[in-house]
Amino acid sequence: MRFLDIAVSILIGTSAITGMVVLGPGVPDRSSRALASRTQLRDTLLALIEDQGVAWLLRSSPAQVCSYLSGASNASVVVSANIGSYSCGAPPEGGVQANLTLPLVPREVTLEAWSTVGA
Amino acid sequence: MVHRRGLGAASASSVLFAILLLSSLSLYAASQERAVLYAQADSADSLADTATALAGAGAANILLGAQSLLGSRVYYCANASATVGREVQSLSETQLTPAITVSVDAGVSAAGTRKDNLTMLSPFNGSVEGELGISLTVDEVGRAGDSVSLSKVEAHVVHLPVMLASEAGACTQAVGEMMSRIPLEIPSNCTGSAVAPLVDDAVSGLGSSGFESGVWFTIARTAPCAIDFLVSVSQDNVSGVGGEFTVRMQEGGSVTFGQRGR
Repeated sequence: MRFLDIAVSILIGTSAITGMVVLGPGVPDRSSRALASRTQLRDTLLALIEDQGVAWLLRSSPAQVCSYLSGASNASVVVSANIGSYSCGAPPEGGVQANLTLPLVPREVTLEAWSTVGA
Repeated sequence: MVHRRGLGAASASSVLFAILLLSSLSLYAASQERAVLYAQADSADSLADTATALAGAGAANILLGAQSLLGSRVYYCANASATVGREVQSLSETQLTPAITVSVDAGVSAAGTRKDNLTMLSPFNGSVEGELGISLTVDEVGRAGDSVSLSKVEAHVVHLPVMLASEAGACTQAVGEMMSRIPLEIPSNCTGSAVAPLVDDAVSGLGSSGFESGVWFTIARTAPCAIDFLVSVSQDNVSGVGGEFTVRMQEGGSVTFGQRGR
């Protein structure tokens, strides 16, 4: 009987711990953090457009735009763009990503930002 | 006794783990609810930011369209403002994505200097007295999921540094001077060299108008001496949203020397 009690206790404990691990708040919290990060990235892109202006995007060459965005990037946020068929470069792997597209007549410009901190 | 202790220990551990599990489940439910709220906030923010970007792009495209129209033809001085007004009113832009539609319609704005918060169009946002002002009506409609929607109409004003009224005024004034002063003059003979100084004198004010200008004439008749003339005025190197362009206008006429009144 003692061994039965021990077995039942172990079963109950294992089930409870498994339940706590599987249904813990970690997964939804990671999703919330990713969404918050994406919102911040998008706001960063909009602030960048408003700061530099659409005229700057139209008058600058794709290389000039990419050079500026490279300088605007830092260790935690990478900013890049696709200007028409020209791409600033390969995106970093992993992390959270956001983009904003400006469908301008001469060329469509899509600004992209990645958070390298992780989701 | 041993059996009762074992049963008690199992029951106690069951209760303890049940409490822990229920606590974890309540935290999970709260974090799930938080995730839903974050998703809604992200959707709303995405709609708003996308709408702002599309509105800015639409406004920029309208400015580019106006710039292209202005730089592609030569206007008649007498009706340049009216013609440009009709052309500007024909401009519109619609930006479509799966989630949002932004429509931008243009019109001619009232005179005056006004600020505008469409800062991504800087320095073309707002209006400046004496320059071509363009009013924009921006209609934004969008939806994300079942709970987030966007419906907004905004009025904005942008401008191009085209001094349309001043340029047309300098041109029509020069034409008026030609029509009023040439009949008072009598050239020594009806040749280009004799007539040219009289023409230059009649439009002497044009040189101080601040615009690039010129007057061309041909001898239409020699008895009495009459000329056909063309006054041309242009605003060069206008800095537009897509680069520089030139606005040209001209007006012509015929006038006879030595005739007082017409």
